[in-house]
Amino acid sequence: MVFSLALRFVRDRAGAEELAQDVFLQLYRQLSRIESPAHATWWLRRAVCHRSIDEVRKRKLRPRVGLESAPEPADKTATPDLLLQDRLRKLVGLLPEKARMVVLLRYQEDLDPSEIAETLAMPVSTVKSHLHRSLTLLRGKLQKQEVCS
Amino acid sequence: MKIHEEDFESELRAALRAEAPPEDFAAKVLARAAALSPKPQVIAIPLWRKPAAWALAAGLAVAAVIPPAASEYQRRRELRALEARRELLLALSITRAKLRQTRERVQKNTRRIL
Repeated sequence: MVFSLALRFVRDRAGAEELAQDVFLQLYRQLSRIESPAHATWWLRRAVCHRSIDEVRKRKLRPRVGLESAPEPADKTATPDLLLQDRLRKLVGLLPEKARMVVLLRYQEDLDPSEIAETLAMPVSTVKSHLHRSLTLLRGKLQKQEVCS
Repeated sequence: MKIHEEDFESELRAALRAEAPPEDFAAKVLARAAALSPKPQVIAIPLWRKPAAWALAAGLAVAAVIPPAASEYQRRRELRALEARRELLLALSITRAKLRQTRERVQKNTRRIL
């Protein structure tokens, strides 16, 4: 969960690994405050969300190019589904930070809007609004790409 | 490539499926955690606050008290033994006297019968 969320959010494997390690170390330092495994999961999810958002904001100030951001060589044997999934991942990566995290928590972690609201400390209505707008935007961009190609 | 509305979310789920961390991820975290762990520090503790010092002091006190107490116990035991010996000797002498009286009486009666 921790590494995967960081990877999908920062879109850089090395950076995501470092970030996930930092989150686990932070948990290790605060282990005495953790009351149950469920509390640990909740804590980890919240910590990785906030740190990922911070990391992306920092990178905007000093851009850093990871291997993952380089375009992949064309593979004609790839199935259409894999191509579509790759495009979707890239489009999700272009979403604004909060909206991107909401989409990741919804479709990767399978959290419902109230759980996302609690994790990101935002109203449920804002979460729903982010989800609705993001899905519309993703659909629109995908269709636009299809028309262009 | 046209995606139906209902398929869009499932495609999104598939695209964003969780990815496992590298195999050595846990080892790296543990190594960093071990490096973070505070090393044992040598702190000067006053002698009177050390449990070992208290144990040693208690041991010394016991060692100082026990020998006189032990010798007193030994002396009393010897006195009790002497007293018991004296009482035994007295009991034996009384028994011997009683036996002598009984024997004399028996002999006297035997002579009279004969």
